[in-house]
Amino acid sequence: MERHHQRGTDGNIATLRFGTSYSFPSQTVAQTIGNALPWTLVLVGATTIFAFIIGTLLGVYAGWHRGRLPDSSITVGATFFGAFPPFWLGLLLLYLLAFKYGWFPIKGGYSPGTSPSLSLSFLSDALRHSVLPALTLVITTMSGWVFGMRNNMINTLGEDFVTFAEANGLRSRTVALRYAARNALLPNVTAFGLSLGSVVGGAVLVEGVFSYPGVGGLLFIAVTNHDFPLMQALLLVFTLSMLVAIFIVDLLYVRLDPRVRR
Amino acid sequence: MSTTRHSTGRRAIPGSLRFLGRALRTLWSNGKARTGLIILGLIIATAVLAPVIAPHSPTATTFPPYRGPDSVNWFGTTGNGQDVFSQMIYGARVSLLVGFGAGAVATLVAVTLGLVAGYRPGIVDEVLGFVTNLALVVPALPLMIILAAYLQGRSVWTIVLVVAFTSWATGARVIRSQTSTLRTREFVTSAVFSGERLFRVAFREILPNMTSLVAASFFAAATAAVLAEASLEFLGLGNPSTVSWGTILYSAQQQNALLTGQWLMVLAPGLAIVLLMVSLTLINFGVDALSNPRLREK
Repeated sequence: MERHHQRGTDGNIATLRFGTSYSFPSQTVAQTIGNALPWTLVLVGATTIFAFIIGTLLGVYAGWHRGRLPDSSITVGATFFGAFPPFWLGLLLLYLLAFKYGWFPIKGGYSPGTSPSLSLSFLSDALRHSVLPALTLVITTMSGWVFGMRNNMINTLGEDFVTFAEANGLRSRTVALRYAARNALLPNVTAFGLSLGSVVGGAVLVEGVFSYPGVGGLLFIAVTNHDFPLMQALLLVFTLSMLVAIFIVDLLYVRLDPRVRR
Repeated sequence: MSTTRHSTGRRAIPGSLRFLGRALRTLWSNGKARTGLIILGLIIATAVLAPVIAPHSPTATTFPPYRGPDSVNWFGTTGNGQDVFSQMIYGARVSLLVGFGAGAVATLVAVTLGLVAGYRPGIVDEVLGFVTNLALVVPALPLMIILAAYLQGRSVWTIVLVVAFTSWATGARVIRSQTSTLRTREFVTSAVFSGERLFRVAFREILPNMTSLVAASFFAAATAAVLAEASLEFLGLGNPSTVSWGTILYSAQQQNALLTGQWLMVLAPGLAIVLLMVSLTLINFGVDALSNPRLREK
């Protein structure tokens, strides 16, 4: 037990000792990342869930009305917005909504002069700072869910049990949501875990553009300063968070699909 | 077999070309894919005819720097006094090159690994599956950023390789699962019994049955590559002397173009990237409809 502990402290990755970063020499890399991680977890977590819910609902709607006006307008819109480079949309929103109209703060995760705490005034300040990065990420990541859900819906709507439900005279709302959408949702949930990788990728540049105090912003700084210790540690953190996310999604999947419970 | 095919063909058109023509015709019949093909065609034409269309040289530093849009420099000038509009025209070349280059390399890797893994269950499949899952789990863009930062050689080809290296995994997984379902079909078994070698069975018997999957993974990888190239160059990880949409965005960010009224320098390259990605996505819708009749437009 004692020996194991000792070996742990000597180790490198096991103790989260990545050396000292060139950009933040006064802290260890682990401390630097530890301070930044909560910001990204909240931002990326919240925007991914938002984008998933909105995108999936739009996809259900488009799939149900396939071939008609709602379908084509949603598909064309999602194609367009999904092609926006996240950092570019961030720059435009920053210019229009923050610089020109001044509705939102221009940079950072909280007002300069305040220090992070859990007080109500700080939280509302942080929320105001996170609106633009969050909006950027939601707009650019939503389209994947729209297409996935629309195509799954169209496939599911071709199944016999949906025709049977319709023939039974169930209300179309019930057929769309309780019969088709529930089954069409499953592949989208599987994709949810893997998609976090691309959200994190987008978040790196978006956080950089908005000077947000998260781990994406850190990678932005690390690249500019050729800070390799920080880069290596960040890649490990990104990969580990992906693994944790996929694990959680697998657990959720068991709740959603009774067939995999045994 | 091949002699009969030649004698029935009216002209001596190679089989692969005829196949490509048929695929294009089928894509053209899909409304979305047609729109995508037209936009892509326009962008390719711009890239090919760049010396004819561009009013100035993209690299000549002959204009006053930091100029806003006017009648001479339609999109303004960079901090070095280069014409942004001409850079936009020439920039199409790099985006197309990286998109199609990285897309092709990634697809080649995906097809090879996917076919071998799907055709050889057991230890080979296990090992390749592990490598694929590993590549899927590591977030692509951060990995690309770090690879590009490590590789000091700053050329377009570095970006092509970095992007290709990080975006083959999804395609490999899809192709692997399709191969493993095709492996047990009768036509494959009969090809094996007639003594054909593994390479030939995989590439000549199995592969033609998933052309649409291969095309879909190519266009998906190309779309991702266009975005990745722009992102890497925006971060300053590209070659700053290359003229591309990403480097225009980089220099716009360096000179705070939005705050000095040069907003076209940010808007134009971004919109060009959006158009190219939209065209590739639209073509991919057509490819999806080829493989899945339920997605076809009525």
